[in-house]
Amino acid sequence: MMKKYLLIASLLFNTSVSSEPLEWPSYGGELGQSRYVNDASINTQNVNQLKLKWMFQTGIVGSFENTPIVKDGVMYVTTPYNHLYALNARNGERLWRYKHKLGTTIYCCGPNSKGAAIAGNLVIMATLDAMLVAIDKETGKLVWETTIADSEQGYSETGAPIIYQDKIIIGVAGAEYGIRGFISAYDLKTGSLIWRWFTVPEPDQIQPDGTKGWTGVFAEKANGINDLHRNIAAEKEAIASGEFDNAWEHGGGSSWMPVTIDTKTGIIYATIGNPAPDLDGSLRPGDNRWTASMVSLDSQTGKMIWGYQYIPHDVWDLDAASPPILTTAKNKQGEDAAVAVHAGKTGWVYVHDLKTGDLIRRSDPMVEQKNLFARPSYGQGTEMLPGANGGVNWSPGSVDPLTHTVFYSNLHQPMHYEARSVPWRKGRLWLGGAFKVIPGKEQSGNVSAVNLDTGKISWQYKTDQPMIGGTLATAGNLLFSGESNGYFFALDSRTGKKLWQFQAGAGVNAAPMAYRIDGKLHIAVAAGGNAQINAPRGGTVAVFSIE
Amino acid sequence: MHKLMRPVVEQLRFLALNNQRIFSYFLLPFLLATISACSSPIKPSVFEPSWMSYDKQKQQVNIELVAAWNANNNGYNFNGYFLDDITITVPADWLVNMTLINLDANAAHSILITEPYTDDIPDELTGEFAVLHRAYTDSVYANESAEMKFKAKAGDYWIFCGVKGHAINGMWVKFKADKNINTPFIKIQQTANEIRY
Repeated sequence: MMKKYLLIASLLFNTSVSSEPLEWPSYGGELGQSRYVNDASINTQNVNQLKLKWMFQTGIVGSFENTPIVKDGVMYVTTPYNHLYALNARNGERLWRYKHKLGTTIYCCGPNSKGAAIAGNLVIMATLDAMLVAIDKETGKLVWETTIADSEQGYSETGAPIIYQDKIIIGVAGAEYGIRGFISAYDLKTGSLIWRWFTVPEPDQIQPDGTKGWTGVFAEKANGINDLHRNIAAEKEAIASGEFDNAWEHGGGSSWMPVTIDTKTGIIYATIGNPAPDLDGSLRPGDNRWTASMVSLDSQTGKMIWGYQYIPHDVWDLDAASPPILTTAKNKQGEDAAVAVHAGKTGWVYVHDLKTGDLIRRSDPMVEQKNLFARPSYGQGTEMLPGANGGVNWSPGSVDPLTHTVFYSNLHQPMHYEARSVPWRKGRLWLGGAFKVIPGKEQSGNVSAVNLDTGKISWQYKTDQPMIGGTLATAGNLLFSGESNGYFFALDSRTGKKLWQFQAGAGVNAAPMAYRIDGKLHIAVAAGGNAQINAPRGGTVAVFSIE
Repeated sequence: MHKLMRPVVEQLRFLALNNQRIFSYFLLPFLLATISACSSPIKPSVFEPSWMSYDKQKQQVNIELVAAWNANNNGYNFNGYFLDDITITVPADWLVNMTLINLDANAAHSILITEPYTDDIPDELTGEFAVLHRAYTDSVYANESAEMKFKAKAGDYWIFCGVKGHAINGMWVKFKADKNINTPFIKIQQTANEIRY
């Protein structure tokens, strides 16, 4: 009953129009990546009046995964191939453009750029050739640039940097090419490296749980529940042979989505991707820590605090990508507790104790699971659901902190997982097999609302096509998301009922954002399609408001 | 290591890791016998495969290529073939109708007829780089297909995947138009393994 009154009071309070600017200065809106807007001026009653306010055509067609950021009345948009635009957030007028001169690029899954970060006078963008560039926010001129890693080895940057205090925090992509992943902190003013934490530890490195290196505890089950069908004895024998002593050097473990930060404690929460090679586990016996995991790090030193591995010895590319969300949910004792939430390619939403990383609960599956964790085979391969894109791929979710509900975009893509051993070669693709579609099998998608206190699915909005992009939740009980067919839509976040939609003309495969300027809430989204699921391409930023 | 033997040995290791007991007592003798059989030239080196048909009167050949036919070369293969596994030879001046079907769940693929590259293989090529008139497709995505029709001018060529980074990773095979033959055929390297016949 109390929660109901709080909800009503909150709605009444937020419905009044605020004249204060509301900014969106980082990828997830704030560093806890809630993607929640505490403004109810656009709500279930008036969303049908939502109209296109302005649009901007980047002219850059590729795969548009950007969430714009807004600061001081200016919107910053990154595009495929690392163009960076500054736009007047009132009307979309172009203020300047910076184009990064790319060197060698080797990357997986499209020429993507998720977004920029801003602090002081600098706008920061990470690039496909694994560099960081700092741009003067007034002039669009380069202030400094620094190389994160050797792009000729397959290192790349497709994620958005995150700025916390005087540091830029960013991971790296490239596990499909046998890189060794890491998360780094750079000095905001100079671009110099402050610390680097490798996601795949060296053999003698002691881990927070007392184990050494990346072999872990030889877990037989995922989350202590689902059999992973490993042959632990054979893996231990392979390790004892010494043949795989150096496998960690090319062990993968990209951290390719933006990190999340608890500004109260200065602790970083990050998701870590798949081991390398993706499908061939025979070359990397052991748990392959900390691939397919969530970890927490001290932002000042990069020291690891805890890690939770979702899929020990992953051989399905079911990496952890979607950024952690920091919020509140019931703990096992039924009390409100600070939690970190992640939705996996597995189709489950995981709720962790923020301090310890312990798994409080795992949700009901948001997508069909079939033949779960069957080992990839030779010949025609193994059919398993979810496919390698998920479940939830990189798409960031959002949370309604009042109802303890999270909202995620999902895919349903039946695949055959087929293994084949090949040796690592510098800068070359190294999947250790192939992910094959199954002709004739239908694909689809959904937006799922999941109650964090119970793990139960509150509702699902089903789509004909797989969903990659993300969601935005508002205090007006609205949930915004988009589809590959070009529709950008608003659902009632309490029921999943569609209330509004707009045809953007290209796939809406990016997470929306919101900002308030001149007392009006604006909703913005990139519509430019997606390379991985072949959603129709374009290069539009569309902004909506009620006039 | 011999190219044919290498994948077989790797499969043995995979099986050994994942099915140790079964492997030791039951599969090992069988697989050793299989290796022995595979080591001899059991596959035809020159023949007309199921995925190619032709009409001598019309002087037309139809070729079906499946990208990611299996996991060979991380899925970057045509009918399982990659690099110099295969040479597809057609009579010069015939009409070639080539269809690309993509089974790769995570990558687009394309085909275009290019020169044979001896040194630097281009990272990415689009249709305008095809050396025969209209001998290219655009990118073909998962579960999709595309056709290209062209007249085969005499010469040596590659069938090249133009998607960024794919040919460099071995996604090309040899193609030849020969004035001195009157029926199409393919020639397979003895080292090619797990391929579509």
